[in-house]
Amino acid sequence: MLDKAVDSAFLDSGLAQVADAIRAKGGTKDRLQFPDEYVSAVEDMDVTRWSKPADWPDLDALELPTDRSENVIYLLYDRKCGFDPVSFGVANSSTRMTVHKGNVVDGEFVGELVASNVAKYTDTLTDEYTVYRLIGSFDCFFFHDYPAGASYDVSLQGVVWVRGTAPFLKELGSPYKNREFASIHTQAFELYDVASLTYIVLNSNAFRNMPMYRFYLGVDENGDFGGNTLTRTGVGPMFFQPIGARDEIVIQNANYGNLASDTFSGVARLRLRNVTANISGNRFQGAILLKSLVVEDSCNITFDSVYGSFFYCEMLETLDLHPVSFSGATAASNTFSGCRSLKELRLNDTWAFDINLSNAMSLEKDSVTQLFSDLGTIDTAHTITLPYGMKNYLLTAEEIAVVTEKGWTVA
Amino acid sequence: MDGRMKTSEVKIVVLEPDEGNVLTNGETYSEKVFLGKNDSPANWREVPAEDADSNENEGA
Repeated sequence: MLDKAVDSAFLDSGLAQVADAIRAKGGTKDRLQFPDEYVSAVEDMDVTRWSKPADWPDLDALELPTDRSENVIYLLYDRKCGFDPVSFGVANSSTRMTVHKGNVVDGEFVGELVASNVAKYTDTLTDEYTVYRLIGSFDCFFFHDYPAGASYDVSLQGVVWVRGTAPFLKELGSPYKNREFASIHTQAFELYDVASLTYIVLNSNAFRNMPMYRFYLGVDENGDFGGNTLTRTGVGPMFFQPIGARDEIVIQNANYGNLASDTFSGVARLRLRNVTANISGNRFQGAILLKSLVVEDSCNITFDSVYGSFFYCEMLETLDLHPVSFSGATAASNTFSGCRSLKELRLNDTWAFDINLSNAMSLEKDSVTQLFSDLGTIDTAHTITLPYGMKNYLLTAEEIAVVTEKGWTVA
Repeated sequence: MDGRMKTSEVKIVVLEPDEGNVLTNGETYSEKVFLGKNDSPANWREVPAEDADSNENEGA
């Protein structure tokens, strides 16, 4: 028995309209199965995120130049036209750039003028000027020769994609106030072969509101920093804010010194490879988008405090800190408070603090037994608090004994 | 299968409160505690479950 008559044509038409709207907003042409895929598509939708126009080229189709001596594109603001980077402020619709194309000979650019008086994308920038697809070797990238700390305010307002090599690039950043380094149009920022890069100055909001699909910065295609000691100043909240749930961010072969607070507050997946850094307290606190943090064996990372380190990282599912040294850590409370999504936690035998995972209702049994195995023997009593019922129903006495024998109480 | 059973002997001191209570060491609350070899039952006491609800400390 039916409780209501339905006009099937109207229903089909309406569902098609809804599906089209979802696809348009989600930037996909995939067919959606009603109702589950409609629901999941809407749930996955970041309504605040800008969508790539359908006529823009496919990012995956871009290739790095195979020969660095060719296909060099040289981009800079045209100061000959009166551009004063000190007083100009953030580039806007009146900003003009010149684009050169040529080669680098003995570290010096030799090339020809491709275009001048190029405005930002929303005005007159077209394929003709190639800034639209900035691919090449950036041997002089904006202000790389400027002295550290100079108050220049430069951004990539007119650039949609940046992908290339920059072997002579010494500095990168926007060391003036909290200016945005890139624009809302910048989809990807990938610089490889940055062997000379030793100074990064990216302030708060550097990439804010960028709909970036990718962010790489390194000396090879894996984002390797080549072991350069990077001096970073002014990296503040929301530095990576726009990256969100896009790709995993891999940072490797870098010496960060002390990580700045909230540096990674916008990162969804972060992997550290051969990174040297000291982390104090709440550096990941409030990283509400963080889903996974994996520290690989090659890293030399220490925590001098684990106070509130992952406080309310509510989306954090995987936290692999097994290569990290906690030997010098002095305070540990609220480390994992509010990590309600945590499925996997790896520590090691340098950890000697209480571990409260009572809210981690998704914690997986294999992760817990691995944690028990990884923890070391302690001299004073510390407690591992597990979600309600886990120790009663999922863990055997033998599995629990692995860690109680080391001095840990399981509650 | 060689027919031999695997046997093991596990010794853990397990604390369980009376119904309606939970255990606390002042830092955390639990309905069941498996003591580590460095811990002592004297470090734990029973409190009403509602105390845990109001005082639950997520720290550590």
